[in-house]
Amino acid sequence: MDTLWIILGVAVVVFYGIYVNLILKRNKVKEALSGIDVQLKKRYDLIPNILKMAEKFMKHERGLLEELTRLRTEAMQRTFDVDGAKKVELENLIEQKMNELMISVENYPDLKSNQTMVQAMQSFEEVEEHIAASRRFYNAAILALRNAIEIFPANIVASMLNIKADLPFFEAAEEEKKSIDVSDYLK
Amino acid sequence: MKADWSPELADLRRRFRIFYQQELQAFFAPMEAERKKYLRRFWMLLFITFFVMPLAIVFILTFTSDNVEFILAIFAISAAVCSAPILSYKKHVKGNIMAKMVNFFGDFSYSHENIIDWEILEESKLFSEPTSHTGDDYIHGQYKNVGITISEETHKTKQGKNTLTTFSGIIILLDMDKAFTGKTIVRKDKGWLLNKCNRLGVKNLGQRVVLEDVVFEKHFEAYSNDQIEARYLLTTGFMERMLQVRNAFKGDWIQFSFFDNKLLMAIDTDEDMFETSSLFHSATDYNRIEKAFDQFCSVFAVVDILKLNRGAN
Repeated sequence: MDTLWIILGVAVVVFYGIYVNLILKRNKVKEALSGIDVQLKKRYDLIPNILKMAEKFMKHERGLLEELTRLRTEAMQRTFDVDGAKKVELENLIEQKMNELMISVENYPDLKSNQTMVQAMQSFEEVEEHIAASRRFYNAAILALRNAIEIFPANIVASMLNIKADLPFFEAAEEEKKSIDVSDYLK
Repeated sequence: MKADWSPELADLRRRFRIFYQQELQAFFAPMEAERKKYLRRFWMLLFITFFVMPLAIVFILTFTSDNVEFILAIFAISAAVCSAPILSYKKHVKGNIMAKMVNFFGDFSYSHENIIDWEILEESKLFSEPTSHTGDDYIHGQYKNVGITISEETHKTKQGKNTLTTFSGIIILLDMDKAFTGKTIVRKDKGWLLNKCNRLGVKNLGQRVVLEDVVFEKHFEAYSNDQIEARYLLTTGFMERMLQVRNAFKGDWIQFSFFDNKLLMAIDTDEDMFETSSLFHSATDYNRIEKAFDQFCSVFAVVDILKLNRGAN
């Protein structure tokens, strides 16, 4: 009888240990996602300043500027929890369009040399580095959670508690894989 | 430690030789006379000690019962007396030579005795508090617009009757071109068990940061109180460059700490760095000067390898 109690006690402790580990990992993913949100908020705050400056000089990129404004508004309304895939898609589009905008800046020497624009672009580059860092943190967190819920015996506990890791990894879009250095466009 | 990774090194060496011939040689010449004066004093003291010490030992053996401690004391006093000219020469001449030499690399000041404040080292979380914290060389200034402090230090801790050297090497404190508020520590990977034990020994080390670079993870363990900021600092490119620095200081124990917009590098090495002067070598001996030049190149190349001057340019 004593042996049975000991086995039961050990099983409870192991179960609790796995449960705590899974919850910690799931919370880490949530923390990582909110980290991305914080960095994206910085990007949203910066975009209007850049667009306002660009509008003064860029005569032929109205469509691009309007598209960026629309994408920003739409992205701000979505969250990773509710509509993760769409949010990721919108963010990738914003990044792609911002890169296009920076290439276009090349054609406007006055804009390129404008001090406010130079500072805004430098801040944008900084924010993009932070976004990349927060995505790397998220990828590390989701990998740890996925590994945890796919390996025995944690997979049993995870399915019992309905803990899932169905969020995707952040991957660089094809256009993003070609690294772009903003400072190159500001020389 | 080797310094031949820099592509500019050959040109730098050529310019240093010209600098030596035009500026340093004439400056070092009077120091050679000074060295000979100190060397004479050393031989004289050694000669006196050679005669006095046996007499003292015979006297102790004849008139005292507690012989061992007295004999040991006589040896210690003799060693201190004989080494006095060596130390005072080093203190007097090395400061002058180094002050002149570091100016070749940029706008620098040199001190023989200064050390980096313990408060700064404590903040880096790379060192345990020593009972003795001494320095040999302290260089502070700007290299390629990057603020840099180099300090050769020894940390010792008393453990019962024994004194343990906890760190002996150089500490490099560099200004970073990125702004950050958290603390990220990159320690040498000592294996699973030792890492766990060491982690317990440091307060507020932060959480473990697992990074994507497999080679980096093999050599280092990163900890931070801000996971995102740690990755902002430790980009894939920067991790590669940190590994290059590690390879450049082959065989030495190297660790990094990012705090207060600065990067602190601790390189634990057995090599006595920047020894430009010795009582037993000519003050104008170019080989010794060149060796110190190579060591300076090794240290300053860290700025180039890590590309810390990117934002300053």
